[in-house]
Amino acid sequence: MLWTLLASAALAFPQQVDTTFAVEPGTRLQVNNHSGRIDVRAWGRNELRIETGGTRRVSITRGTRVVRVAQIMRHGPTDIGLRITAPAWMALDLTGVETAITVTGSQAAITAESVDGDIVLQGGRGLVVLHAVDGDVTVEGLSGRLEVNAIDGAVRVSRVTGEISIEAVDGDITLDDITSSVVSASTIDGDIVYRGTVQDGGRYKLTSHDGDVTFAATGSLNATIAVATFSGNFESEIPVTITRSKGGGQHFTFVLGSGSARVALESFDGTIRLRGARR
Amino acid sequence: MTDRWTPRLSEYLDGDLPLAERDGLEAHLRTCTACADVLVELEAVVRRAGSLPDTEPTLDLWPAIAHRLASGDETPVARWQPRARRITATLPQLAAAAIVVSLISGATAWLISSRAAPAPAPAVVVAEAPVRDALTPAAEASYRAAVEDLRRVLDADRAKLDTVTVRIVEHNLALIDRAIDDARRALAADPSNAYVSAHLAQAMKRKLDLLRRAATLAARAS
Repeated sequence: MLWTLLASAALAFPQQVDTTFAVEPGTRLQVNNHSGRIDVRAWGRNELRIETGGTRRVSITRGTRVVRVAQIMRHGPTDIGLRITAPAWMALDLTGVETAITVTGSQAAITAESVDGDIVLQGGRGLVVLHAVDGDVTVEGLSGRLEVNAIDGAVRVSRVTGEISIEAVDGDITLDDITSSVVSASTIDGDIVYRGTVQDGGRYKLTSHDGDVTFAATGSLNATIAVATFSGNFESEIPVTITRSKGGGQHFTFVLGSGSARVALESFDGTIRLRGARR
Repeated sequence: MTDRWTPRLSEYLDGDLPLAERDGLEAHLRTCTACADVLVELEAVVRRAGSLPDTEPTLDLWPAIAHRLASGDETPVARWQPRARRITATLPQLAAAAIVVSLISGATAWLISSRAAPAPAPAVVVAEAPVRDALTPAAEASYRAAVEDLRRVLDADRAKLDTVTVRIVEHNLALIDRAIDDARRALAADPSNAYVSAHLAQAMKRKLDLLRRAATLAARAS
């Protein structure tokens, strides 16, 4: 049965800033908090708990397979610290303007977007899409597919298993302890560091305009590596034999091991470093 | 970056390559990073083109862009064609293709939602041209027009954005512009440098992406 209940916290929960209700598996959670915080923790119950940090300026709308939580801005935005405990299976869509966002322990798809504020994700499984304009993005312990778009801030990703795609403009990208067959990381003004496995048949592309690019494989390294720079340098801890060179030595390829994986390392005017295999 | 197989990648992607040649190309792909990269980029272009909505924007912005894309110069880099989703592209002119696809989706996609009438399915036809011509006059003009269009939309709503956000956006646009200028100078010094050509195209695409994102944020702000 289709039903929708608009429950402004001020109306339906006049005295409450802490409410818990049951949610059916498959229900999504959409949160829009203009300013303040959105902190989501996962738990094992089929229940959603919402704590509004003492304010009643929050609306909670329960619809078919979706719960929407939003700041009421009749009198303009205010800082609200939203604490939400959600089922681990619950897909999350989190948005804010001047808002810090944290998600811990989710096992579902997540989208999070903040204009001014950091985004921190710990744990998780599935597709994760994060957008930040002015703020850092930190992802730790994810097993899934990660897409990050950051404009002004650093991106730090660690202990992630799965495909990774990161685009930044002004900020470093650090990828540490990665297990992935597809990695793409690109920034205009920042360094990029990759430490992780290089899987046979995998594809890895790190691109910076004005920054250094460091690629450090853990474990075996069977890769065809293409290096490109215009006015930067290349340093390798591993002896390499360049099999093909173009553009006056600024664009060259070499093979390590079976050459199965494809690795592209590019920096317009930074230093490209290839580190030796480490475990 | 170009070899005898590069112009065949599009046919390969479309499944039109004869069996013997397909086997040869696949063997070549196992040893040629450049072609393998081009193939990946081509696939990305196809995916992006395929994911574009089967709609056309009704807003005034679209006819101007469509006209520019269709008219171009004597060797158009790309144009929309109705009723065909097939991608015919040669060469690693992906730079231009990526720019054009990005331009179309970037400059208009966020405005498309209000559009009602069904429209032809999109296709991208990329004319054969050497890598150094990735930025043909037509592509360059389309790019500049798209930037101007997005700038105009952004400017119309920029007052809705927080001043700090505006400053951040402008700062990052300036960074990208600097990267574009660097790449242009490099390409002028070394016109056959495929890496720089692709790098320039990526930087230009990044600028369109950022402008689109900022315009979206401004439009959403209340």
